[in-house]
Amino acid sequence: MITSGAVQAGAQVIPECDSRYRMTGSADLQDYRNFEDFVEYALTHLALQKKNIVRMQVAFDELYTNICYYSGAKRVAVSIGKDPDETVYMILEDDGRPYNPLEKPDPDVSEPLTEREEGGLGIYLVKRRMKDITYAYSNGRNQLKVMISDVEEV
Amino acid sequence: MNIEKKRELETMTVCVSGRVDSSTAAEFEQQLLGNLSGISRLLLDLAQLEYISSAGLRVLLKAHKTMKSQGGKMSVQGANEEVREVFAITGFLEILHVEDAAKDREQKSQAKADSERELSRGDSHIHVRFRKFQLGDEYGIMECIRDEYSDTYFRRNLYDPYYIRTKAENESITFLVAETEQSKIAGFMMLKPFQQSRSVVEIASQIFRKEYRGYHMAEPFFEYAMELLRAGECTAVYCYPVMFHDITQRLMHRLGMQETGLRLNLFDMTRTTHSYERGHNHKQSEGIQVMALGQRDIGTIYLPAEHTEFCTQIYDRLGVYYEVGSMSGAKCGMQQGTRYSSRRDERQHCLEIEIEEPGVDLQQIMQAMLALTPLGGGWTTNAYLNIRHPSTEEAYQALKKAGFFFTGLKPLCGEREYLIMHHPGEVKVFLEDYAASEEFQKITAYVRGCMEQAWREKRL
Repeated sequence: MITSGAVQAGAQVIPECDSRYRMTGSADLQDYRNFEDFVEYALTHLALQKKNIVRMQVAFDELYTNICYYSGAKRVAVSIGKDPDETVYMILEDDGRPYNPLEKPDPDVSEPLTEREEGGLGIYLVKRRMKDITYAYSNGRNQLKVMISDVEEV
Repeated sequence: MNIEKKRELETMTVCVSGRVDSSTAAEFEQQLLGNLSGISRLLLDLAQLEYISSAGLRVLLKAHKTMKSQGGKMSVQGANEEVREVFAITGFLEILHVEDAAKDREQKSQAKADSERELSRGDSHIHVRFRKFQLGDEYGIMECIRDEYSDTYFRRNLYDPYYIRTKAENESITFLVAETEQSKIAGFMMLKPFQQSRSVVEIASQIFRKEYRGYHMAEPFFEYAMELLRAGECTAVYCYPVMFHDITQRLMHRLGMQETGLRLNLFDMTRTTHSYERGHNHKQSEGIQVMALGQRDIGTIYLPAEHTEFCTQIYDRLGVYYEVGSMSGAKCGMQQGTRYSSRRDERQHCLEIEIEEPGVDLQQIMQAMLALTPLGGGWTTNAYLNIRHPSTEEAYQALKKAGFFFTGLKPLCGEREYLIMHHPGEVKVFLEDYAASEEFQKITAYVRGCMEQAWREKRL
């Protein structure tokens, strides 16, 4: 259940869901701020370590903007929750064209920056810093789930 | 995001704070690239930058290209660990001339520090080189772990090559390896800063492949590590040798480390494989060994009356100057709220609590935590009590009432000073089954006294 002062009018919060926190909004950067607040709110309430909050925030930025720019989607839903084994997950769903970003080849990061082709860095960053990522397409929706382990290092 | 610019002749310094992401990248670009003509040196101060996403990286790349095209140079300083990690992963680290004072010093000390040794076991001789991590070592490191622990090692992150590589690249952990002439990684260890501090370092995860046992590789390897640490800015080194063999304990003692306490029941042995004697303990423990390097005066500590003698002996052996604060002088009563943090290890069934500032609600908090994590089913708890705080005695008594007993010190020699207490829950502790060096036998004997006292008083 979520009741968030951080989530503002214009975005719709749907409480009933298996995820602990869920928010839907538009896929056109209009709702960026609302989503950003929501993500921070949810992660803070799940008591994640600071570094993992930052990683999730960056992941959200990369994935949400990809949807806005390239998918042709109208709506986006973001769900955030924590499993008993301290795995924190974030699911982004959109009603755009079927597209699996995990199939995009990784950029060659050993190449000099100035000679590299643009793009692809965002999803690469997400892939490298998450414990796991899964993609599914069902019911006319792209579903991308990213997971991070919040177990503290011993 | 907030940006401050300062121009001096041909040098432009730009301080960026907050977040650079998709919502702020456009403004970042405008501010950064807006006025670069005539600039030969662009210095980005990222000390206050919280995080950066790929949208921000694109802007940095543009700035880099612009500076290059006008024959200038761009460099970055002060980036935090997360930002450095992003740079490291994406290949920006090298190219942006990311400056790090600590790194420069380390590189200087490294030149002399690579160390090669001839080692022998009977008639068999090998040539080993000790050195810092290089790309590709992550797989050799993982092989060492699998060789000894198969897939049960408690530092789960070390099964992830990306983790090892990233931590090594952004230098939040220093990995050292022992490499044979055949380019095989025979063993490794980690130098792990205590809570982001570079002055207190844990020597951790010393693991060698079984086939290289008997060459006495560990001692010169540790010496190499110590040499690196002495050359840096380190004021104290500590390690947690396991108590199911005494090899590391003895080695570390020979290198000058002092035994200070025990962290009881950290590992669930039913979920850990290793190649040593098992004994009766279902959970296993670590000792604590410490060596003070730089800073000698650690200031005032507060000790519970019944352990003052034991604790001062330890501090005396560490060779640091300290003062034992008197409780009566500081009798201002405990503060209201306890400041503490905790972490649960679901895999090892272990709860660790750090009490930074004890308050009047400490006993309630401990009882509540024990109620939330019922100490059945193999759950055990270690509490670390900050003894820089004048309320040590009251806090110690509160912990005792909650069922904890004293197991020693974690004295980090200037950075933090902790007293350790343990609650074993339903787990039986067979201290006599530990493989303890003579020095650790003295510690376990003392801890046994504390544990038996807890039994007698029926606190457990």
